[in-house]
Amino acid sequence: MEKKLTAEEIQFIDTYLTNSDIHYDDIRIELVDHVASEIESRMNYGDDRDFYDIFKDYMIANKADMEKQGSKGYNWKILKIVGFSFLKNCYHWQVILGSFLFFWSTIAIDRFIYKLEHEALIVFPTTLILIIASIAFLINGKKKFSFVGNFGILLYSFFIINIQYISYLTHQSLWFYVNMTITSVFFVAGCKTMYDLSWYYKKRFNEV
Amino acid sequence: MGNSKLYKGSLNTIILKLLEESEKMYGYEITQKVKEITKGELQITEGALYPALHKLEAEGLLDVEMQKVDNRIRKYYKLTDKGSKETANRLSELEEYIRTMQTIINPKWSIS
Repeated sequence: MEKKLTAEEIQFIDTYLTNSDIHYDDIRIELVDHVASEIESRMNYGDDRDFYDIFKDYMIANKADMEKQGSKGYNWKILKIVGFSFLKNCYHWQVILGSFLFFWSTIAIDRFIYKLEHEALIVFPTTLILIIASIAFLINGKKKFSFVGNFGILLYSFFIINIQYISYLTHQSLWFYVNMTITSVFFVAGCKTMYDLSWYYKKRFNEV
Repeated sequence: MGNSKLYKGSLNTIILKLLEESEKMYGYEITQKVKEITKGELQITEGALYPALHKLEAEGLLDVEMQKVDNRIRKYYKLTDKGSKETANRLSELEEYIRTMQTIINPKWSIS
């Protein structure tokens, strides 16, 4: 009869990889299956040692290779891919319309309700990044997925640079409006990209 | 990837070709299939395979399906329609490349 790992042994692999800083759930799920399949294969092809000895041997040989994939919060290849998706979304009609509405709402708030000067102007991008991050949280809860995480890092970098830059702007100057336009597009395209990515994972990972 | 840098550039095409022949495959299965076909000559490591699969998935060439198998979740990959078309393109490109290389390296043995 073919040997299969028990639920406890699978859990052991999962915990080990979590403790080895494989942050993202989607990457860890695949690695757990990979390691488990390899151990089962060795057991079924004559390795009579117990699970922990085979596991130890396997990890000594392959741990570095595995950590390369998941131990960092970012990955250049994934950043490039999500960056392209984001740029593609910037031209989507929903984003163009949304950015236009967002820009004018912000300008209306600035002129008639509350002036976005100094502290308010600096807090503004921070609020936007929190709104985008909350989309991922609302859709997938605390689960972390590689494309969502990398996209978060990309957007966070933009808004952090923006916060530094925004403090030098003169209120209601030309550059103030240029910055508002770019921020509006980034915010709306960011919301759409984050929604698309989070929903992609939800559809695939929540069905099992 | 195990043995040679020369294989690296062809990894995506190898994956697409294998998926063209099967309805769906999971990561470990792909590594074993490659090992079996090449009689152990080519061994794909996790560090090379999964980033390549994720890239193909992000490009819309592969779709994924999750299944609970033997106490764990397994991620299956399958070709999308776009992926099937791209496989044909990449295979013909690779064949062309091999033909060209053969004419350079071993003119007498080249395929006409």
